Amino acid sequence: MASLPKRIIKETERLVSDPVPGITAQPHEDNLRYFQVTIEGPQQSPYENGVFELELFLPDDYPMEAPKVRFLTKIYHPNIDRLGRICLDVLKTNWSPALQIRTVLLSVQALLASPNPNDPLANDVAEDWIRNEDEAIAKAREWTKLYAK
Amino acid sequence: MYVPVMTSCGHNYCYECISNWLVSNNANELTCPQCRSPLKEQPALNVALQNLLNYVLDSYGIGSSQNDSTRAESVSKYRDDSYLDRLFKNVFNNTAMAVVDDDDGVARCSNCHWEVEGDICPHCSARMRNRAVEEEEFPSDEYSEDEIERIQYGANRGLGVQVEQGTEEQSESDFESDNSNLESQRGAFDNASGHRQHGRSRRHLDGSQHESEDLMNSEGAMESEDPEDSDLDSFIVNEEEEDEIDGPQEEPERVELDGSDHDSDFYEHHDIDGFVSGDSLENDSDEGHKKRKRRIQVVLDSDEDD
Repeated sequence: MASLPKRIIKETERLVSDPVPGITAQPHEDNLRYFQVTIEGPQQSPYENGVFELELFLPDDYPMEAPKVRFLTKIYHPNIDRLGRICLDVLKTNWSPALQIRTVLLSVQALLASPNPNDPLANDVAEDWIRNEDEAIAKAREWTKLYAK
Repeated sequence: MYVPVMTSCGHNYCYECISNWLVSNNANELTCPQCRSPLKEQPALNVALQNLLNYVLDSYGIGSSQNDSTRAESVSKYRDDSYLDRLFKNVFNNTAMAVVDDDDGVARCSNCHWEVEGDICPHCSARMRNRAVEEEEFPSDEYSEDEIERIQYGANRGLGVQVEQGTEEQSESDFESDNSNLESQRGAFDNASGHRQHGRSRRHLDGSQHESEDLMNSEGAMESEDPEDSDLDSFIVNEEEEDEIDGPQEEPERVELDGSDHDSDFYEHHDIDGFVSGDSLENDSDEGHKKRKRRIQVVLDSDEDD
C-alpha cells in the first residue's frame, strides 16, 4: 500500500490516544484511509441517547480536499438525506486544510444539535420540520430509538 | 516546515503546503486555511521564523541527513520560484483584485482596469481574488457584529431603546435603506422628545472631524486601543472553536475591510442632522464626553484605513 502521509498517521494516532468525548473513529485494517465512526447524539437534542454509525473516507488529496463522511444509521434530520449524505458547509465549500477528522466529526455532532431546515438536503423532512417542529422532533426521537441502537 | 511564509492575516504555513492549498482551493476567493480571511496579497517569507526553525533543527540534532536534504530542497525550490517569479505556483500572478472605483462604484480588474462582473475578468480572464460584489451587498447579512455594536453604542447613548431596535434591523436589511430607516426612527424620536435629542446632536458637532485631528495624539489615540483589543479577543475565541462551523470566524477581518467608509457615512448623516436641530448643550455631561471620544475614535479608525 502506498505510504500514508504523515499528517494522516498523526491524526489517527491522536484519535486513538486522545479520543473526542462521544465520538469514536477506527481506521479500517485494510485501508487506513477508511474510518468507521460512531457519534453519540448530543444531550438535549432529539438524538439524545442514540449512537449513530458513520463512515469517513480520506481522499487522495486530503487534506487539500475534505473527507467524505456519510451516515450509515438511518436518521431523521433535515440536513441528512436517506442515503446518509450530509449537508454541511465544512464538508463542501468551506473546507480548509486547517480542519481535521476530529473537528469535522465535531461539526457533524453539532449539526445534530442544531438542525437547519432552512438549508435542507432532505426536503420532505425539512418541510415537516418547518410546518410542525414538535411533531418532527418527536419523529426524530422515535427514529433514534428505533435505529440508533 | 523549512520555508515558512506568513499571510497578511498573520498565519504561518509551509511554502509548499500553502501553495498546494491555493492551487486546489477552487472557491471564489483565496482564503487563509486558519481564519478564512481572504488572501489579497501574496504571503511573504517569514525570515525570523525560518531562522528560529533552523536554530531548533540544528541545535537539537533533529536534522538527520535525510531531513537535511529535504530542507535544502525546499529552500532551493523557494529560491528558484522566487527568482523566476513563479511563487505559489503563479496563483497570485494569474489572479487579480477587483477594485471598486469610489467615484462611480464600478469594480475594475487590477490587471487591466476592465470593468469586472463576477469572478473572472472578461478582458484579461484573470480570476478575481476577492469578490467585488461583496462591497455592494456587504451590509445585508455580513454586517459585522462589531460594527453594529459600535453604532449601537453611539446611538444608544442619546436615543435610547428606540434606535437600538432600529440598528438591530439594520443587520437584516440593505444599507441604503438602513440609513433612511434609522433617520426616520430618529426623526420620530425628534418629535417625541426633542430636548434630549438636541443635546445629543450638539455634541455631535463638537466631536466632528476637525477636533478629532487635534486630539489624535492625546487621549483619542489611547482610546483607540480599545476596539482593537475587543477585536482580538473575539478572534482568539473563534480560533479555539475552529471546529464550530465557520460563521463568526470571518468577522474580525470584515471590520477592518469594510468598516471605514460606511462608518463615516453613517456619522455624516448624523452630523447633517445635528446642523439642523442642534442648539442646546444641557445634557452635555460626562456621558457626552465619553460619547464624543467614541466618535472621534471611530473617525480616527477610518482615517487610518485610508
